[in-house]
Amino acid sequence: MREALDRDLNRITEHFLRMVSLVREELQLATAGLVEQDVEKARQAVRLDREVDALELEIENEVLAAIARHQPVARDLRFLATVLKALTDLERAGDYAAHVAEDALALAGEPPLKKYIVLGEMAERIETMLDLLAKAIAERDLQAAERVLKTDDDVDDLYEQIVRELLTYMLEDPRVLSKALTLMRVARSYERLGDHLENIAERVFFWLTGRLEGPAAAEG
Amino acid sequence: MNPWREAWEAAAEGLVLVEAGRVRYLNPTAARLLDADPLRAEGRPAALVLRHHRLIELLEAGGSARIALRGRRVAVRAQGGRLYLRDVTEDERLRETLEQERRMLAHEFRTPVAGLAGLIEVLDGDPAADEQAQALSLLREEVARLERLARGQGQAHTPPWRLDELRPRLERLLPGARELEWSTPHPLTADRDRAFQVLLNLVENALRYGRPPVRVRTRREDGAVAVEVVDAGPQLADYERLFVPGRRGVHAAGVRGSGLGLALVRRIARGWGGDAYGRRLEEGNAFGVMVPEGEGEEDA
Repeated sequence: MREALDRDLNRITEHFLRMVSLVREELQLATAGLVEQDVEKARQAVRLDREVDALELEIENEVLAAIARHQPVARDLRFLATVLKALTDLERAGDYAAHVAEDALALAGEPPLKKYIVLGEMAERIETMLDLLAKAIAERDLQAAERVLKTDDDVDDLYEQIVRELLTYMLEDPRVLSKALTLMRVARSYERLGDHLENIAERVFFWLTGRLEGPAAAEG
Repeated sequence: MNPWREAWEAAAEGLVLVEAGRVRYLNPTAARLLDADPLRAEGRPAALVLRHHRLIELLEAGGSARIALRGRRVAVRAQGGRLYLRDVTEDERLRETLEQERRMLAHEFRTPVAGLAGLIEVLDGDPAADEQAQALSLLREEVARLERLARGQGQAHTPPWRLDELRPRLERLLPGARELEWSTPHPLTADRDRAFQVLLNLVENALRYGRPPVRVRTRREDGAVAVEVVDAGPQLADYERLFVPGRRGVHAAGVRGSGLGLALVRRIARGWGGDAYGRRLEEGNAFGVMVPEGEGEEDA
């Protein structure tokens, strides 16, 4: 009985890790589409998002079937609840990566307003968050989950920085307004993506500790 | 320890050995690249240790690929339950740098070689003795300069000189340069070969993408001499972008060019301790370099 439950839990973990990895690739492609003005990569990112969406449904079914079949308790149940709730956040994270790719397609072919250094840095931090999240889940690593939350603070700081920068551009030259607004939306997509990953990290914290409050509250 | 295992523990290449979906062995290099704990990894499902869908797909189907793993570029080869991982980040960076160097050198030779061809045509056309002597002397000078350029050498220190001393060479190599207006009274001490490269690139750009009249001028500013080429073209969308290698202006569509000229100008200017700039002036666009005064003197 226990063996069958473990088998199901392992499969669900593997599929969830695959979904994290797919979102990571989607983000990389979308960012390359933006920074390198690579239209093909941006299109690949949009296509990959469909795969992420399909995987979400598949994992959701697996989780519901596992609950019905094994009626798990304690940590096992917390894990399944974590995955079930985290799925929505992860799917939304993928949607935001797809939004970045769509905006990259809209911006391609025009000279960039500036070199997208800060946006690239935001994307790098989010990739790190996804790596840490995968590690936290695969290795039940509480520290990795906590580092996800800390990295999200960096993403928020970078977001503030780019918003200020774009506002300056807009005030100096109204002709760049439309491009700057699109870039503002891109920055917002990255920022929201980071927030969804933060939510997942909080749920992982709950799964591993059984405590509902996040690590920030626990520290305070 | 088993000698085979001991050998893999010290290997620079990463190895992950998987049997029946579980990690049987993971060497320290692979553990570092995958950010995994080698002691905990053994016996665990491969998907939990690899945590990357492409690695899992390779493990199942075999083959090879290059993937991004935690900020590194990694070449992966999969064969019968074994994954070999090689960090190629530095290799790729080096290859990119070399390719850029090659393109820059090709760019630096293209215009002078076309100018040399023009001089050979002059010699072919049975010129008067003084014109022949002048063309031959320019040919020798330019060939010597290109030779120094190819060897990566600068010219030995010369006493202060004026930019318009380069004018005859420039006009012979770039026929459009005869229309330029010159106002370059400030003495320079920077290497003449490099200064000629800068001037050739700036003037060629102004003639190709800007509008006449094109002026070459020097200014003194904050302990540096600015050498700049000004044309009467319209405002550009982004000046800084033009200094990025391979990036060209929106007006450059359909005009032959590699987008490397200004990147090279900047590199030379920074080598002097100065910088290159492009800016909008009331009368047009200025592209130039700031050369700190006294540059080159310590090389004497």
